[in-house]
Amino acid sequence: MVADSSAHGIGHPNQDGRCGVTIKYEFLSRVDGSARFGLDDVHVLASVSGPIEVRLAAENSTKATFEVSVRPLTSIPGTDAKALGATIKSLLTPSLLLTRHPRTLIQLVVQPLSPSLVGSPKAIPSFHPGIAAASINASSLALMNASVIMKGVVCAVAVARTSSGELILNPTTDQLASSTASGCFAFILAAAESSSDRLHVSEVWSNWQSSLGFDVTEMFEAREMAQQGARNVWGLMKESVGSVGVDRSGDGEVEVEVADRLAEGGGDEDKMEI
Amino acid sequence: MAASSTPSEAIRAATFQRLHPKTYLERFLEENVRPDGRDFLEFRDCSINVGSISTADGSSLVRLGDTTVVCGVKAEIAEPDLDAPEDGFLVPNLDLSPLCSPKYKPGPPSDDAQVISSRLNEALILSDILSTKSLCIQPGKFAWVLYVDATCINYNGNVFDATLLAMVAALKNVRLPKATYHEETNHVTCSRKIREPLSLSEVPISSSFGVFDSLHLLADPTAFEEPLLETTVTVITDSKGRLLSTNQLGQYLSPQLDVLSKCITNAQSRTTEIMQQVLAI
Repeated sequence: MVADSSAHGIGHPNQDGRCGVTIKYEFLSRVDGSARFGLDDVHVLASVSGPIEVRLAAENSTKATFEVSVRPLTSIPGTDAKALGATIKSLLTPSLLLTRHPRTLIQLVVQPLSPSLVGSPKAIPSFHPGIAAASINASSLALMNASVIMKGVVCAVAVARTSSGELILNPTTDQLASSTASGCFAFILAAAESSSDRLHVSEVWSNWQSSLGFDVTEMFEAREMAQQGARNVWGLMKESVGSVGVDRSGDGEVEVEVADRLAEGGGDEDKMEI
Repeated sequence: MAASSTPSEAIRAATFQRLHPKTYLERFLEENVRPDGRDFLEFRDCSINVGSISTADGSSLVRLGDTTVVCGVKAEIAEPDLDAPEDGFLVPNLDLSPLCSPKYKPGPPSDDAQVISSRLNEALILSDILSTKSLCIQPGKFAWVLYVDATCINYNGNVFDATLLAMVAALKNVRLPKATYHEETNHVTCSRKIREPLSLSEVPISSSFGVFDSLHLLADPTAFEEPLLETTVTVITDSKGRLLSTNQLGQYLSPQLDVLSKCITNAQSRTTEIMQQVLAI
């Protein structure tokens, strides 16, 4: 994977925001929607079940209950996984029309497939902005795949400041480990009804931290940059919906999964009839 | 109706607050005041008391309005991790028991407690309050583990700010016995008489805010206001007001209100006030 993204110019990820982005609808068989989002070396898988039956204790008479659980790559979910889950839940909630399915449950499971930051002295071990951003994007894709009614699509990107003070969009894990400040920004993007090419962008999460301290203007610069990045992610998501099942990780190689799946399904039906 | 007595008026107001919390708060904010009489950007009074738990190695009690948090630090000796032989451990934890609010049930830690504990850990690491290297007794053999346990006694909103302050105060109050390593016996002995404070570097101070109805920015929200907020903002600064972390979560719809810059300015002036109290410990 790493070799593959370097071919796409890992050093200049912010030129068009599309180097090394992988969007894949996994079609996991026992859930209603699933998707994998990958950016360079970070991959996250998300699945959505719902609307399904809700536990009596969690039932809400006016809207659907929305649950998010994050499963870490290694060991059992700790407080950091819970914290990420709570963040994802509150930033996705404004985009969902939960009142359409009262007394039901919409369950989102997020499974990062890449390790968190390790062995970096200045970084916070539990928080990897790249994984957080990929988790949010994978969640949005899975919700779309499960046809949950939404007002807009939530797109997220990570930003980091290098030791030389330069801001970079979509940093790699190595760049994050040596960064002096980093953060994750998420936006709800929705096409305006009047003209189809204009986008409504509103911020739902901005997080910026540094153990060395930072300046307000720097954070606003990072946010500006992130907004542009989120637009690019939205564009890629839109393309992916148009070509469901097409893997865009390779260099232009198109792999149509839907057709295969449909063919398989048809085969099964035939067997059933026999 | 007009001649009704005062107690029944109060009961009616309480009923209205329970049934229509949002309208109740809106009515107050229309008059430019909050239900507890504060201004929008006013924090509640804060008091810090240290050393009240004699069995702990350091302790504190913080009150932020009615929100009360007790924090105790317990020091133990353990073997350091293999990949970090010179590092001790700092383990913060917050307990939200049913004692503090009916929101919490007995049993395993609630989601809120876990989320706040994780954020507290992040804040302490980010500010680099205590270098884990300074907790080392003998590299690869013995190091101190500091369990920083906080318990909320009364939950009236903004527990994160109160707990972070309680943890900082308790850590400042810690007096560790002087530990010496004996090579021949491979043992550590702790002095009964000599106790030393920790070498703390920077102190994190957090300030939380919320946006209600996309219009009003409220500082230090109470337990009644918290569930009604659509956006929450937490700003963490160090003792000099330098920004360490900003976190804004939730959607707000009016672009005229520049929430984040306003919060940062307020957080910085609040840090100066709180630091006077922290330095007095």
